[in-house]
Amino acid sequence: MNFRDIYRADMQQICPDAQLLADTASLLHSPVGRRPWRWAAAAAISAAALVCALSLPLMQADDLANQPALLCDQPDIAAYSGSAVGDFPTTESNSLGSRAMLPRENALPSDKDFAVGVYLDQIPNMYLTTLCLNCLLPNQGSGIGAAVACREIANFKIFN
Amino acid sequence: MLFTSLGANDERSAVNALSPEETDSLIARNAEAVYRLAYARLGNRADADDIFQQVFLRYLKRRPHFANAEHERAWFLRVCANCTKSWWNSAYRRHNSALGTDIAYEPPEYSDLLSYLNRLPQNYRTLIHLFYYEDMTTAEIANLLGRKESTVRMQLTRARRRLKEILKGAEDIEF
Repeated sequence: MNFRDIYRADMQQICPDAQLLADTASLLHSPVGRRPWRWAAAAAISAAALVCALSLPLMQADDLANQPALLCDQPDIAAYSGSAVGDFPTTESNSLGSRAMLPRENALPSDKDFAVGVYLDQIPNMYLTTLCLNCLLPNQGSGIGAAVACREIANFKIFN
Repeated sequence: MLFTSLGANDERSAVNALSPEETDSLIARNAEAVYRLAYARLGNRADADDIFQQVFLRYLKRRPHFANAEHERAWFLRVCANCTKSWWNSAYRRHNSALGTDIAYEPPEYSDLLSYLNRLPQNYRTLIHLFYYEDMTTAEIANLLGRKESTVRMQLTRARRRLKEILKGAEDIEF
C-alpha cells in the first residue's frame, strides 16, 4: 500500500460542510465587507468619537469656568495677577510636573500671603500663566487652561 | 518555481473587487484546500471551521490581486498556515483544554489513519499534508512556510520516522 494514496483517500472525506460554505459566501457578498462601506462606517464612527472626546472637556471647562469670582475676588490672587506674568514664583519640576506634593492637612500656614505664594508655587506654570491672564482679562478667561487653574486653586481649602 | 514568492506588497496590492459570481468561484476553488490544511494542522473540524472563515475574512480585508491561479492557491495556503499558527499560539487556546479523546465524538467516517496522524506534532502534520496531499515539493513547502529547504527535508524525514513508529504493525505501507 502506498501512504500517499491512503492519505489522499482519507483526506477526500474532509470537506467544509454546505452551511459553512454558504455562511462564508454570504459574508463575502455582504455590503459590510466592501471597502467603500467599511470606510464610510469607520469615518462616521471616528467622527462621532472625536466630537464626543472634544465636547466632554469643554463641558467640564464650562462648568468650572462658572466660578471665576472665587479667584478674582481674592486680593492675594489679584496682587499676584497684577504683577508681570513672568514674575510668578516657580518650582522645580519633576517628571510628574510641579503639582502640589505636600499633604494638604500639613500645609496650612497662618500667614495667608505666604500661603498663596506657596500654593501658587505648587501649580504647574502653564496653569499659572493662564490664571494670570484669566484674572487680568476675566472676560477672556473661559478656556480649558483657566478652568483647570481655577480647579487647582479652588482645591486648596484656604480659598474656600 | 511553481509557487511564486509571496511578499507583503502582494497582499496590499490593488483592490480587487469581485462580483458575487467571481467570489463564489474563488471560494469553490480554494475552500477544500484551505479546509483540509486547517484540519491537518489542527486535527478537528470545529477548529478547522473557525480557521476556514478567518482565512476568507483576511481575504475580505486585504482583497489581494493574484497574478495567476498558483499565486492565488499559494496565498490561501499560506494565510491558512498563518491563521492556524496564530490560533495555536493564542491565549484562548492555551487557557482552554480540549475534551479528552476518550469522550470526544468522532464521526464514524474518519479513518484510523487520520487519528494516528493526529498523534504527530502539528509541524509534522503540516509537512505530511503539503507533501503527500498537495503534491508540493520540499522547495515549494519551504517557500510557503518561510523555512529553509534543508530544514523542511529534515523535518519531513523525522515526520515519516515518527509516523512509522506510530503505525506499528502496518509495515506494508510505503512512504
